[in-house]
Amino acid sequence: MPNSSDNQPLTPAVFHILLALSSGARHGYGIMKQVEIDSQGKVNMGPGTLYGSLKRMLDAGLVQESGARADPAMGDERRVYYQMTSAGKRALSVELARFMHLVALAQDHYLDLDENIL
Amino acid sequence: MKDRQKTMYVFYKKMIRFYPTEFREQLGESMEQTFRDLCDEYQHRSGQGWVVFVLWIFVETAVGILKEWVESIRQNFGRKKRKGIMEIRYASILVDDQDKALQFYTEKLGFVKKGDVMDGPWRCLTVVSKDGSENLTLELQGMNFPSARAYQREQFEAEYAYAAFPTKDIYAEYNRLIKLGVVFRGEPEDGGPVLTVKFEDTCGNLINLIQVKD
Repeated sequence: MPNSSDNQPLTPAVFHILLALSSGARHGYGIMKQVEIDSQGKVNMGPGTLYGSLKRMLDAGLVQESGARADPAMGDERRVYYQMTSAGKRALSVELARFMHLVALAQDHYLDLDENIL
Repeated sequence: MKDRQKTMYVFYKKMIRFYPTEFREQLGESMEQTFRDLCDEYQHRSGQGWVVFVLWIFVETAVGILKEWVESIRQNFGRKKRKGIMEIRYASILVDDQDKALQFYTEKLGFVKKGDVMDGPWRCLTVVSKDGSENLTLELQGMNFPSARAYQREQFEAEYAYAAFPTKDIYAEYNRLIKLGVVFRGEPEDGGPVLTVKFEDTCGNLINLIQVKD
């Protein structure tokens, strides 16, 4: 379960959902589509994974409902929107910093390896 | 096209019912809406594309349902073991004579003495059920504060039971206790979800003997 009070790595689904919500509140389908865009089509999140993750994120206080309203681009039906909380923003920042550190580390290692090969 | 979508909605709605109640109540409606949005997106696909979509969506949701049940069971189990959460493990009943109470509660009712220690000026006398379960310890508490006697007497006179002890067979227990000379206030009677009868504990209290109906 994602916990807002520790710095454990986030699951890929939780990370993608937070990333999708970092640019504003979205409904379930909107989150799926944004995840697809962000991952350049590589992550195709289904409703089972999306709502399972949302449940744990709601429980952990990383996201919250921001009410139900119609999406102007999708007709009159009202949809429940979800938005990131400040704890969610913090968790995403920590995860991004962790990724950046790993990328820097991997680049160093790769360069060493590359030199050895050469 | 519309018919197959309608059939899918009905199936999916039924499928969502398999989620744990808490999950369903919190997210079920939103999930249905998202499913309808996905169907709208995929409705124009024909043949293989549609079949792949249907298979993906139902298998993915089925896996989600299983995961949620595992999570729900894990959380309930963890909740029980979590430190810092209060539990009901200890209760007390006022008795006007602790020796007499110990005799009645062990010899007549069949409980087992658990502890008998002095806590300053007070005697802490406890019993538990005979089945070995120590989920609840009952203290046979003496009249340790000035108004205890008046409190107990008024409750007794109002015919208000101080505690309720459940049994699986109220008639068998009633007959057993009658033979041991326990004083009952009537016979077991229908009390809604339970069968119930009051008896005197000889130490100033009325106790409810109850049997939860099947």
